[in-house]
Amino acid sequence: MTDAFADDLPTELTRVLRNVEGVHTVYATRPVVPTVLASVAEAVRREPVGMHQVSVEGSGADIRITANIGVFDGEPAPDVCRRAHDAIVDHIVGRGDPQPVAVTVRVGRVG
Amino acid sequence: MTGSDDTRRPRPDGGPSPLDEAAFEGHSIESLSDYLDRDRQPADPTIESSPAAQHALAALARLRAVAPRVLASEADSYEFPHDHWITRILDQISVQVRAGRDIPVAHDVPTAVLSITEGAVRGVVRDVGDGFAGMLVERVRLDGDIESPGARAVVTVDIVTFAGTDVAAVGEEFGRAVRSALAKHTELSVTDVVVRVRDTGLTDEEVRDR
Amino acid sequence: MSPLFPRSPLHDADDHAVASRAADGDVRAFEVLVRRHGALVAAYAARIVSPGDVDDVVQDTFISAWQDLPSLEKPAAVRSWLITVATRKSVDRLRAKRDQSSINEHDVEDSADGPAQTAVASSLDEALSRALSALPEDQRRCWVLREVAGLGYQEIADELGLPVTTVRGLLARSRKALVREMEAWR
Repeated sequence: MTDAFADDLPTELTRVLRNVEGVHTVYATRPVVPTVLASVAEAVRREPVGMHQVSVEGSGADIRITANIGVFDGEPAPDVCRRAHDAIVDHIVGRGDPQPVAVTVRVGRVG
Repeated sequence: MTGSDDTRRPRPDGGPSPLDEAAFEGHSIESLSDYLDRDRQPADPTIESSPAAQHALAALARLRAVAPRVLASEADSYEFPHDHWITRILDQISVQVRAGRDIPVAHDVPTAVLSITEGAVRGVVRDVGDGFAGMLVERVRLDGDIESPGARAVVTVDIVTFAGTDVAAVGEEFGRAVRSALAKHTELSVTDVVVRVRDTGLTDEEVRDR
Repeated sequence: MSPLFPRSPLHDADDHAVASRAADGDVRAFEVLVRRHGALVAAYAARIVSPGDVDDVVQDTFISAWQDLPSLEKPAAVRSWLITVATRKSVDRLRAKRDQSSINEHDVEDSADGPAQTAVASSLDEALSRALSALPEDQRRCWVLREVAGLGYQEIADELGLPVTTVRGLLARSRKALVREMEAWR
């Protein structure tokens, strides 16, 4: 695994999540450059420069993914949450990589 | 609130001030000022029996009474240099500090760690309340071991109702709507939705929905 | 006759409701609080720190308030609570300036950076406001911390880094000046 892989995946996964039916926002899990922000700012439908939304830890067969999302209230939030999880797993497996050890998806806002 | 003070004009010579006297029965302005701040305890008979000292204390007490008004009127006329002082604040607050506990969402994949936050659930309940005229949700509390899958929970919602609202009816309808929204968006087993009402101007009452 | 149900209930709701919602995480409610009390915090801070620092104190105050709102026991008292927070932030800034002990920080104490000045004070409030601006800064700070923030002598002494006896003297002098102004309006 190259460094380029580690840098690209969070961005890719963020894009994947944004395209999931029912997801309206992907929130930051932590800033890339901690000094840029005093606290983790809520990214509402905009993409602050230097901010990874989805966090990826580990590499190779030991990847752990964490995402915070906001969903529309039309469907049950658990359904959208499961759909978001599946989209992440499908994307990783789809590019030929091993299945992640853990995928954490947290719904932080409904509606 | 500003009342008759606004129509008066200052006397041109300023006039005598109750605090002009250098000494009041041997007490300085400093000690009188201190005496006021100690709420006149313990009572000092020499101060209490001196008309000049009493005069001075009365003036100091008047000044104290007026203090909040001075600041309030300054606030009324305060102008911020630009409008984005508000966005600067809002940009730096983190909603995630209100996230609270993670309420599990089930999935048949063992590597999935899915949840909805307590904060999100509070937002759901607030949104339900926003759909009801004549009331506003104030606080939402979830009691129970909600971090365990399918846990039983008691939801307590504090609401405020406005004049003219049928408190009992709204409380019941709202409670039902909350139960329904939680059933949709969480996998909690909600045993009770307790709606506590602060009726503006009247006493609180509890409406329990079973 | 006013409508029974306000059109924008959050905007018109009392401090208890708005502060409670903000404590629970409602950002819109928090924004209502900021708009409602921001000017008071600014006017108050302006009496303690130099004009250039007021904006930062306002910001620090509300960011801190967001953090601590859930622990506020009486949401209805949020306004006076914000003054308490602003006091802490203002004093922190004074202390930081003192520690820097930079000559450049010498306050061109254009201390009349209170409200806009008109030719003649048209009300008691305005006259007192001006008199407050005219006080030397240590006197003004003592008075504001005592009368607005309700701090005790020792607390003021600790916050300003002065002996208690000095605080007592400054307070007395500030009161003498302000009472003179106030009595002229009776």
